[in-house]
Amino acid sequence: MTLSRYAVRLLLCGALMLPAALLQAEDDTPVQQDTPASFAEARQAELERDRARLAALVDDRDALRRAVDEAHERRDAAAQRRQSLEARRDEQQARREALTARQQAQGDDLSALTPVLERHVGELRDALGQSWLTLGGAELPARGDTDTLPDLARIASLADALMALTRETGRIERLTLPVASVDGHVAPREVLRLGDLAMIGDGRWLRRVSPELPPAAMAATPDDAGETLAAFARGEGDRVTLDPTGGALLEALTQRPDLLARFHQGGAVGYVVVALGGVGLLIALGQYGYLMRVTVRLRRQLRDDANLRDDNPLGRVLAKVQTLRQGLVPEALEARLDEALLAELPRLERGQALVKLLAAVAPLLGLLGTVTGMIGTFQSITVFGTGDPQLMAGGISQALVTTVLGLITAVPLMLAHTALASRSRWLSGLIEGRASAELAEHLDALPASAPRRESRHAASLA
Amino acid sequence: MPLPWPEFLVSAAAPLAWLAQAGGPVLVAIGAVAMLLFSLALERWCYFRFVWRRQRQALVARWVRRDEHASWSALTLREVWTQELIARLSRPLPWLRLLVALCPLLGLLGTVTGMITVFEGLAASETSQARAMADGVARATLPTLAGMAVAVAGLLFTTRLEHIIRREDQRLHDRMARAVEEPDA
Repeated sequence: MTLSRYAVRLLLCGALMLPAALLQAEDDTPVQQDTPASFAEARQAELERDRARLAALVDDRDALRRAVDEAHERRDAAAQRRQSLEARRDEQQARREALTARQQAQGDDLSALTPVLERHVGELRDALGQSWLTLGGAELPARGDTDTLPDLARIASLADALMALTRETGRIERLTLPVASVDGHVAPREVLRLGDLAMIGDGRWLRRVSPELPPAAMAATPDDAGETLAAFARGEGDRVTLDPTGGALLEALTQRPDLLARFHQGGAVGYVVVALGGVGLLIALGQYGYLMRVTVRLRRQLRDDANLRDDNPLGRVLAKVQTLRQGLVPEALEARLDEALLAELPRLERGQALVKLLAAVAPLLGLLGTVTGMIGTFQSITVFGTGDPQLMAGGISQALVTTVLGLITAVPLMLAHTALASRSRWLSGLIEGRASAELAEHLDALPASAPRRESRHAASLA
Repeated sequence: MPLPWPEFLVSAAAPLAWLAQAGGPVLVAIGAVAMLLFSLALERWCYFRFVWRRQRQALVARWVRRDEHASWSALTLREVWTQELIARLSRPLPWLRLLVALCPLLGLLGTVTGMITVFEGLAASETSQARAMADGVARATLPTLAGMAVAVAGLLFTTRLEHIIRREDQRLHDRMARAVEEPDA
């Protein structure tokens, strides 16, 4: 019975191998390990069943042979299938290894990219936080976290946001936004946004203190710039005034002292200089008014020779000469005439000396202010050192401003003095000439009886 | 609508506009003073060239027409007439002198305001950029230069005018004396 024994062994082998081959064909996961007890039980049950089948087959020889052939066929098919599955497993293993290597390489690059990306987004948000672009324009890209890898959609949206921001920088937009006016009142207003450069509302530049607060109008918009801006906002002008430094110039403009603040920088010396100048100008103005009045009266007197008026110097001089005319030699008359003229001169030249003095004193006082300002500067250098130029600025401002005040006080005083001097000289020359001519014509009209000494006078004239 | 300026005027005014830009308002003031000064000078020159000779001859003729030339009253009248004429010639002289004296003062004013601009630029830029100071330095130096130049030119003219006035005063007296001595002269 060796044949039957061989057949039984084959059957056993085939029965045992089949589930293993099936299990292996499932996938690459390892075969599940059952407990030895249950395995032994199952084996026992299999053995029992095989034994029962064997007993049945031993009884039937043909059936046994068929079963053996069948088992052979099944074994061959199983072996073939195992081979193909093993080849597929190897192939998949190799593919998996290649994929892992690729993933490893790419993962390193991406993890280096993430912080760079997030840092750039953060910098962009910080830099553009106070920019005009975010008002009614494009959105800033959102901040992400650095732990997860950025996915493709985020990178794409970031690129889109950058493009949109860049596009907004070249666009002029008319918006209605809540805007704080100079007195701090916030109301919705129509504004004009010029890319990223500036925002204009109501003919004023706007400034943005923080991203949360509404933009506020700048107090220091000069008038001409304001007109240009307003015309541009109405669409009439084709030019616009801008601050290309991004607010630094406008800031300097607000901090620049106006004319009154400049004047107060001059200090006590500046006040004294200007007060003296004012006094001098008042005196000059009063005296010039007096001279003009005299001129008008003199002209009236010149037109009307016959009756001498008492309200002008020429009339007074002529009247005085007329009373002494009889019986005097011409030289004596001339001396009286000179005397009468001399009495009129002080009134005509009143105030001139003072105005001239003030005109000369004003630059000197300016120099004094310069020196005291320099003393203040050097004192502050002694105390605080040269570290902070702001501490020295006060003294330097005083030094320069007093000089300027002294000079611009001196100029009108000099003008006033020249006006006074030339008018009074013209008046006195006119009076003297008219009086002399009058006297000479009168003497001509007299009969040439009185003894004359022309030769002496002629010699004196020559 | 701007006036259509002739091309040559625009090109001629370009350096002037640059000067006014670089030198600031003080330079413009100096320019105004210079224009006033030179127009006064031109007016004096025209007066002396075209009017003065006629008036002098008229005065001499008037003196010759007088029947007697030796009395006190004749000499006084002669003196008065000459003084009147000379005064007319020298009337703008004080103003010319004033304008000449103003020019250096205005130059100094420009220097000081330019220095204020320099310090302002330093305070605004907070860095020692030479570029920030250049504007102020131009404002400080250009008015001084312009003031000096105008003052020198004006001074030359006023000195010349004073010389002419003195000479004409002398010449008037001489002419009048000679006209009496030799009536056919």
